[in-house]
Amino acid sequence: MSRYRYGLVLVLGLLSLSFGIWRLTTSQAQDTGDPLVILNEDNIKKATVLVMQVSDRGSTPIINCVGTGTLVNASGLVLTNAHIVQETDECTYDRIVIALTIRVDEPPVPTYNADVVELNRGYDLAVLRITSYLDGRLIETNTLQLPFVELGNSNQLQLDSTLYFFGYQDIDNKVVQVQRGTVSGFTAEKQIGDRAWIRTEANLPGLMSGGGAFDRDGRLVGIPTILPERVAGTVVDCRQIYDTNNDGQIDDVDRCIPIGGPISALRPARLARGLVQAATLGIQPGPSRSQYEDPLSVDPPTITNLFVATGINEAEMPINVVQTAPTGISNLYLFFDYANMTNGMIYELRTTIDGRREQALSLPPVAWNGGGRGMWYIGVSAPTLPVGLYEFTLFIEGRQAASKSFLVGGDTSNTPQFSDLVFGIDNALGELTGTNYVVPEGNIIRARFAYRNMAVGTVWGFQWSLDGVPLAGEGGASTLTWESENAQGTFTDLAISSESGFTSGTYRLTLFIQPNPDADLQLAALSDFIVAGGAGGANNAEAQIFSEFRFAQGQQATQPVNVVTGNFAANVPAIYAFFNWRQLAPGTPWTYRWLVDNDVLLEEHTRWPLENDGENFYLALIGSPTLPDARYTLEIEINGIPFTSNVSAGVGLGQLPVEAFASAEGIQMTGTVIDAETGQGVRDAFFIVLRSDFSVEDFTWNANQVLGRAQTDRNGFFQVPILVPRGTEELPLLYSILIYAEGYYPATADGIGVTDTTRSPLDIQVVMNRD
Amino acid sequence: MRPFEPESTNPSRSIELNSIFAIVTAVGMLALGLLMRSNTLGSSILFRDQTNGIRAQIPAQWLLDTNGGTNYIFRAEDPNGQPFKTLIQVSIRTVGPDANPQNVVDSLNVIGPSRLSNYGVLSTEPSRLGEDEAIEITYYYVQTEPNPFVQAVPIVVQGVDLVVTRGNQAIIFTYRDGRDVFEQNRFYFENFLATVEY
Repeated sequence: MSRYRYGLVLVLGLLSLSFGIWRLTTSQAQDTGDPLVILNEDNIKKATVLVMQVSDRGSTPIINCVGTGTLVNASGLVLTNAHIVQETDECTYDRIVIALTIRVDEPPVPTYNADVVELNRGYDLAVLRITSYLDGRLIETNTLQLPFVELGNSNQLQLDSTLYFFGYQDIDNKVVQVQRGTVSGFTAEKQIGDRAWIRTEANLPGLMSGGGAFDRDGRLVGIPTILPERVAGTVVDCRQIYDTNNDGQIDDVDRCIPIGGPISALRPARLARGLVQAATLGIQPGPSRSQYEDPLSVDPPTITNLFVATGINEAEMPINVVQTAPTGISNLYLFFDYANMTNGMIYELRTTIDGRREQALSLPPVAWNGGGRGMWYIGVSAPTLPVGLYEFTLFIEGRQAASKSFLVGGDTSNTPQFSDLVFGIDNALGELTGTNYVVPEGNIIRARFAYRNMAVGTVWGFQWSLDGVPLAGEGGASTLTWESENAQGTFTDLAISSESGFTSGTYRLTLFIQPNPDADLQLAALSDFIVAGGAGGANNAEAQIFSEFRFAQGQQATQPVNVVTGNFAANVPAIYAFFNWRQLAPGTPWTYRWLVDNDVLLEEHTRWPLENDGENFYLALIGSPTLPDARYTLEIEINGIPFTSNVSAGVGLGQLPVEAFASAEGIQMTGTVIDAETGQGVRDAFFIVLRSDFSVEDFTWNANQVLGRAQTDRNGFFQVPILVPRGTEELPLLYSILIYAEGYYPATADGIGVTDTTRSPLDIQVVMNRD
Repeated sequence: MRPFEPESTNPSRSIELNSIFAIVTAVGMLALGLLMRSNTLGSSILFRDQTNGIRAQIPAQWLLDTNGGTNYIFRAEDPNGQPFKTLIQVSIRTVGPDANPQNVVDSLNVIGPSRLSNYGVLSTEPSRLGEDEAIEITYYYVQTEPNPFVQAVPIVVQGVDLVVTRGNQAIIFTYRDGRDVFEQNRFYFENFLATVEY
C-alpha cells in the first residue's frame, strides 16, 4: 500500500476509532483433555528432533544411523543417547545432522549440523550443540531461539506416575507422535544405584531411543534408551531404507540402519542434568595425566559367580546374600563377576518367573560401562515381587553368557545367614577399627559381619582373595564349625595377617555356610574391599591415599604451570587439579567428579591408570573458550568412601553469574497476529517487547528500551529471538508489548507478567483492526 | 382552536445543503488527512551523537538503536516497513591518513559477502555529500529468516552505502530497503542526508 493511499485510509479510519482497536490474549498450553495435565504438546513436538549420522560420499550425504533427541536449550543443545552419536562398526559418520520438527504434522527437516559437546558412555547420554547450517555456514548459537523443554525432577516419579513419550514411531513415518504410559518400576545398576533406570510398559518403538519422556508438567524426566538387539554379535534389528551405496536403488546391499527393539527402560533426567549444565556453561572435561585402558584380551567375555542379594550398601556391595527370598520382598540384586568385557558392548538381562517373561524385571539391551573385569549388579524392584521361580539370564552381544535360578516365596525364617560384611584394621588393643571398604596397607585385615539363625556345630567357611586369586597360607581359607551359642550377633574374630603386609589391590572375602548336614557349603556373604594407602587419620585407621591437592592453570611435562593458591583470575581457559598418590594399585576402581557451585556437572567411574605411587596426577576442566566464574570442586571416591574434603578453587568472582543459566531459564515469547476481519495472519507485522522497567507510555522508540523484537511470517506467526527473563510468583516481571503493521492500528499492552511458573513458550494472540 | 399543521419544508434544498456539507466535510477531512500524512511522513526527530560528532534529523517513530558498538553509530528502522524494515544507519571506520573513499568501498565489497547472504554490487559511483566528495555504492543481498520455525520468504534487499572521509575516519551512511520499494522510500534517506552534520 502506498504512503499516499495510507493517508486517505487514515482519514476514513478516524471514523472507526470508536470501535475496538485490538484484542490480545495469551495462552500457554494445549487442551489435552486431562485437567491435570498442562503439557504443551506442540512445543514438545517442536523440541523433538531426529539425530542422523551422515557420511559425505562425494557430494552425496548418506544417512547411516538415526535416533531421537530433544532440544533442552534455546541456543541449540540437544540431549540424546550416547550410542546414537558414537561411531561403531554399524554407524560411522562424518557429521551429525539435526532434523527439526518445523511443523508438527510433518516429518522433520534436516536443518543443522551438530557436534558432541558432552558424553557419558556409562549413562548412555550425550549432549550435542548445533554449530552450523547444512551448507557449512557457522551459527552464532546465542542467536538461535529454538523451542526447547526443561528438565524435570525424575526423583519425584513414583510407581504408576503418568509419562508422555515423544518421538518418531517409525523410520518410514517420521512424524512426532505422543504415547502415554506409566512408570512400571525402577531398575538399579552399579555405578548409578537405585533408579538407574525408569521402567515402563509403554512398549515404545526403538526409534524413540534418545527422545523424551515427560511428566504432566511437560518437563523431561526420562530418556528412552535401547541399543539395537544383537544375535551372536550381529545387529539383527535394522532396516535398509537409504541408498547408502549410492547405486540408485535400495536393496540388501545397502547398509542396514540399526533400530532398537521395543523400549522399556528410560535413563532418569537427573543423570542428564549435569551434562546439560556443563554444556550450557561451555565446560568440558580436560586432559588427565593418564587414562585407564583395559588390557587387550582375545578371550570372550565371561560372566561367573551369579548370586542374589536383597540389599546393597554404600560401597555397592551386597548386604546379605540369599539363596531364596521370602514372600513380600520388593528388591533383588543380581550380582556377578565379569571378565574380558569392553565398554560399549551390549548387555541384557532377561528375567522369567515360572517360565514367563517379565519385561519389567528384565533389562533391555544397553551399553556396558563396567570396564574389563570386576563385580557388577543389576537390581530389580516392585512393590511386591511375584512369588515364583526366577530365571535370570544375562546376554553379552546377543549371546547367552550366564544364568541363575532363584526362588521367591521360600521359607527363610530359620535359614542361617551372614550379612553386613565390613573391614578394618586392629587398633593397639587388637580391636577392629576404621570399618569401611578401603583399608590401609598393613599386616592385618579384620572383618566384621552379622549372623543369625546360627547353631553350634554349623559348618561354615571363608576365603580371602586378591584380584581374584585365593590368598594362600594360613588364614587364607578355612572351613570351621560354629562355636558360639548365640544364634545371632556380630562376629569380629575373622582376620587375616601377613608379616610382609598386604599390598594394595582389590581383595574379597567370601563366607560360606552349610545350611544342613546333607548340603554343600553355600555362598553366605561376599564383599570386595580395597587395600590402598597408608594408615592415618582418626585412630590411625583411615587409608591415606591422595595428598597435596593444588590447582594450576596448566601443566608441562606433568608439572603444574602457574600454581594458583587463591582464586583463579576470571576468563581462564582451564583449571588443573594436581595431587600425589601412594599405595594405589593399577586397575583399582575410583570415581571422580567435578562440582560447579556444588552441583555435580561431570562424573567419571574409571580405574587407576598408573603405578602405585607417584606425584602430580592431574585432572582438568576446560572452558569454551573460558571457564565461567564459579567455584570448582573436585571429589574423589573409592568404594563409596570420599577421599577429598573441600578441594576447590574459585574462578573470577567464585560463583556463577546470576544469568549463567538464563538461556535455559527464560521463556520464549511466540504468537500470532491476526486480521480481525479475515481471521488470517498478518504478515510482516513488527512485534516489540519492552524491558520490564518500561511501559508503553514510556516508550520513545529507543532500542535501549526494547528487550526483543520480531517480525511475523507469512502466517502471522512470530517468535521473539531472545528469552524473556522470569520474575517470581511474589515479584513477577511485567512486560509491555507493541505491535505495528502497515494498514492496521497499532496494538499495545502493558502488564504481561512472567514468573518462575510461567510456561514457555508464552503464546500471545493479537487481533488487529485495519485502519 | 387552531388546527395542527405540520411545518412546511423544502426537501430539495435540505438535500442540497446536506450534500454541500458532506462534500465540504469530506474535502476538509481529506485536507486534514493529507496534512497529517505530510506531517507523519515528514516528521522527524533530532539525533545527536556528540562523541562521534554526528547530528541529523531522522524520521519520527522509527526505532532508534545506538547499541551497535563498533558496528554502527546508530541505526533507525521503520516498524511499518514491509516486508523489509526500512533502515538508515551511520557507521564509522578508522582509516589511514592517505585513505580515500574508494579504499573504504573496496573494503566494504570484501566484507559484504561474508556478512550478507548473496551479496552483490550493482554500481559504484562518485557522489557528493554537501561539499564533500563521496562514493556511493549500491548493492543487494538476500535476507533470510534464521529461525526455521518462522515461515518467511527470503527478501531481496537493496542498499546504498555513501562513504565520505573525515580525517582518519570514514563515515558510511547506509540506506537499505526491500528491492520493490527501494526507490519509493529513498526520500527518507535523502531527507536524512540533507540534514546530516558530521
